[in-house]
Amino acid sequence: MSNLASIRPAASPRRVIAYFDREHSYLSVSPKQLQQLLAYSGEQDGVALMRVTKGGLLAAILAALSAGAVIAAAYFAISHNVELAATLRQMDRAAAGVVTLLIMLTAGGLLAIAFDRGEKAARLLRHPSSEQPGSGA
Amino acid sequence: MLEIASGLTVNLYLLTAMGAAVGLVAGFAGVAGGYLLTPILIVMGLPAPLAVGTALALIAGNNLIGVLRHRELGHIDLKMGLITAAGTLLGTEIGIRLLHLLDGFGERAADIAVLGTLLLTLTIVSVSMLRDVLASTALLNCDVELAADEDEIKTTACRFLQSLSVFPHIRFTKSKLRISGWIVLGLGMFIGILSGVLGVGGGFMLSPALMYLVGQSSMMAVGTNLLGVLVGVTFGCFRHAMLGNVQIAVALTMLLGTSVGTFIGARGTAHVRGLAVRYVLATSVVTALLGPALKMVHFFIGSDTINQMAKLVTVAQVFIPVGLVILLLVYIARHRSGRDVPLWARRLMPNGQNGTAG
Repeated sequence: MSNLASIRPAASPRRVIAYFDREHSYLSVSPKQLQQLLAYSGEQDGVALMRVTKGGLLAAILAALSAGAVIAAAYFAISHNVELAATLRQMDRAAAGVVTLLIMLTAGGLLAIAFDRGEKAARLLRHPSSEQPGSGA
Repeated sequence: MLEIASGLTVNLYLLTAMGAAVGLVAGFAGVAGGYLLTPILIVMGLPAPLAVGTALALIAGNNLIGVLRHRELGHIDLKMGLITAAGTLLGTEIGIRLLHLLDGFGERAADIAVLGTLLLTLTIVSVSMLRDVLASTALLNCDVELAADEDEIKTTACRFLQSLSVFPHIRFTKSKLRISGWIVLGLGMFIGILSGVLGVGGGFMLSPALMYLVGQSSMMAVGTNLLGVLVGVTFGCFRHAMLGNVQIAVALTMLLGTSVGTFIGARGTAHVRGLAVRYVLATSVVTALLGPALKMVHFFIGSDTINQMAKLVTVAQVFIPVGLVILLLVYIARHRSGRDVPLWARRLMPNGQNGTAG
């Protein structure tokens, strides 16, 4: 059963501080994460916390992969700049337009995913000890 | 160093740093940043058509990040954004054709017409923004407690336009206002025409228009404007890419910088009042007047010194809003960690922020 003892608002309006009496630990979570924690009521809290941590790690990996893909694309474009420009020139004009647009929008989309997942990873993997009572959190 | 053409190289680190600086202002003020990026690329040695095309490609990628970020923050009115975007798209095509017509009267005539339109538009936008910002500042200086919805500006023009009951009178639930769909479409089209003639994204015109003419709150105008501009910029990028005016390596390198800047800038808006966003936008628009104004003087006097000064000011003007955003972000961080910040900066932060870490 869940040993969630209490919750109180955090300084950020989007987060709450949850207290687990068995682990004597405070955890800063968003309301959605709190719902996830409560949904695992049939499991040990350690398992529930592990799932949150696992989610954080997955988010971090996805963020790194997305950012890495854009950095790799930029590196490729820099090192093959002349060939890339020549290839686009040889293509049909409309096709060159579509390819360029797709490259830029994909890069933008991947970076958006990287920032979004990176932020989520940072939130989920934040060490609970940094959320002690009275610390102003 | 990246070789763009024979004898033309650009510094990649400088490109990324400049991208990050422009991204900060773009993310904070909710503008696409084309009017800041294009002069930078020209000064870095790119020919003008290549600079415009590359800037548009970069903005297309970066705007998508901004739109997704502001959507997450709840700052986008999808209905209004799409109607505006439809108008902008139509207007941009009209603007491009109008520019083609102007070219028929000679290069000098076209240049003067474009610069004149830009100066007139910037002056009108600057005067409206300065009046509003000065009035709000005066209220703050008098220690008048602003209402919770203080960033919803109801100008006379906005009240008049909202009162016109031309079918279809659409309720924009997210923006909490009712206005005729034709007005929003027409506004997008007008901005699109200007943007097509001037070769810029149009965000620095659309954002104030949504605030002062439609009556959106500053934050909603920032996000909705980005969505509206995204469509126009995507179209512009496609057209320029067809003509071979896009340097993908430069655009991708700068995108890495602008994305970081935009992310930080957009996050910063969550910790300030709408007035702070209007301060940055006003500073950005007013300083953007200086370069074209000097260029216009050069057209009539023909002095090389003034022409050089115009180029110098065009680059220098980028750093004024960038500096202001960096200063504000530093003060936000100081305030959130409970340290002292000047009174003017504290007044730009929401009342709820009491200096505790979150």
